Amino acid sequence: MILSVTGLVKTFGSVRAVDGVDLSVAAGETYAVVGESGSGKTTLARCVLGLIRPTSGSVLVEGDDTATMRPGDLRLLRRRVQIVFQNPHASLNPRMTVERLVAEPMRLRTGSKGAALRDEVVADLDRLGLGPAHLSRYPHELSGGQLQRVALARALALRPRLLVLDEPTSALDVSVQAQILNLLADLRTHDGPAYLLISHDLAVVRHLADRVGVMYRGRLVEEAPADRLFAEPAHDYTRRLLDSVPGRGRESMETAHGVEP
Amino acid sequence: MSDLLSVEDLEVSIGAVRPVRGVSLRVAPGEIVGVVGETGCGKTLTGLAVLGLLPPGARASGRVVLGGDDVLGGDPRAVRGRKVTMVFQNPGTAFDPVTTIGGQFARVLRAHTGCSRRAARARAAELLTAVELPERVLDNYPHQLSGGMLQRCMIALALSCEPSLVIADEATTALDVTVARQILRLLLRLQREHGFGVMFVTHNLAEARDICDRVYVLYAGRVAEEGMAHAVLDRPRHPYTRALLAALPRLDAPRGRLASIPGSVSHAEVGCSFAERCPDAKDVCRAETPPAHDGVACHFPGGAP
Repeated sequence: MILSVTGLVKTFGSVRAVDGVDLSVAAGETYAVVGESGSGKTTLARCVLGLIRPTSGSVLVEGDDTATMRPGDLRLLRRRVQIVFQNPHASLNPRMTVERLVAEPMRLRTGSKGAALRDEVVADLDRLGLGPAHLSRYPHELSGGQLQRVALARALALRPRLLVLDEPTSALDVSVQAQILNLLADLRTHDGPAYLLISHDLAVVRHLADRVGVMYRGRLVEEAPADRLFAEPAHDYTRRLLDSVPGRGRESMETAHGVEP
Repeated sequence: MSDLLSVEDLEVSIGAVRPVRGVSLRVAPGEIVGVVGETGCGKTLTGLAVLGLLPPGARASGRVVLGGDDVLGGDPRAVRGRKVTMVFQNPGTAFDPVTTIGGQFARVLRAHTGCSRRAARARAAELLTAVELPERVLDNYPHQLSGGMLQRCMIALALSCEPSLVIADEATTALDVTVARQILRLLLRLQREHGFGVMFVTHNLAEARDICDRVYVLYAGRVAEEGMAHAVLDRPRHPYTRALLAALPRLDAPRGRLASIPGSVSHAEVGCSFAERCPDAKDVCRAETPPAHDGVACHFPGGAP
């Protein structure tokens, strides 16, 4: 297993943001965590990245427990676990060129310098659909879709074993979202990382995920292979989420279904 | 039936940029009309023009007539708040953070109707009931409410002077999926009860399909396609609408590669704006701006010969 989360609890004061979660992600697998605001999905992701310490329970990355790691080990952990955030405008340093943004993590992994480092950056950017013309650009000169490719290039430069994708296409237009989703699917086939996809968009989740965990109030209320979850949702909350997906026409608005909060 | 809102050949320019380049649309009384498109297509500016709320430096031409009043030529304050109101995307920033919800209702009601504080409070309570919120919310500050509750408050506030047109600009975009669904159902129910028209500005084609009677699909500041919502979104005729729908991941479609649209938006002055990205484009598409014919602004609607 790339990731094993066991009995994870994280409290903030009296709030149990994550309240006993078990999940595991195998090599090359895409595991999606779906849920709404306050479900605990972001806190779960932060525990997985070692950004915050769990109150109890364990997070194992390839067998190593992040809860007991010292700061130096956590830095090494981040070479194995990377994240792409929702808003690349906010997550990329505006004063660094695309080349520097990608070269920074690349050098950490390969130790290259100068022209060799530049070649590695160019090759990775090319794989993500960005030509060498983008090397000298700053984030404000790029579109949202291009920036998200840079954020992916930066994360993948370390060749992580697990990539956490936190709402990676929520800020993008539909046509650009399609490009990024296709790209994520392509990267998975080339000996790529496993994905932990955090999303509220069930259509995106169904498109990309192998397995899905539904989070509600800090707990995983249902977990199933994607095909089964969408075909036969077992939990009331999962059914309510599925009923909320728009696009089935005016008639679907008339039949209020499921429990109201 | 005479139109509630009629926008004719609206152009908006900001400096040398023309984000809206000849949009014509209409909303009949009691009709829900979608204005859909991606970032930069001109949908939000079109909505703001109807309210007379274009940003400083923006110049508008064309005609915007709302219930007989000329909005572009006249004083927009004659219609704003009374005949037309807006529900904004982010309810967290649309309210004054240091005034209670009741105070904000009082401000609006007293400005528009000149009623007493007591009457304003009674009316506000009535409006909150209509959006399924308890009266005690009047004593809350915005930060004490959830996004969904605030959006209900904003809808109630928008209805306070019984407008004939409500412009909803990405009204559900900032909300969780289940809450977004509740807000859409609420909007639909209130629309039926009160009979106002709705201009539903959104990037979400699926939501437009669920609540709109008719839709206009905007691309690069022009109307690419218009028609009945189910017709346009189930049987799109403009290549852009087709491409946009094909790019959308769906629960009811087989999983696989999504079709993406190559290139980026161009605001070409000559020819069809979509020509550079269109799989069916011919020479004529780059040379002549396609006129709208039968609701589709395309030289080859439904595919090239």
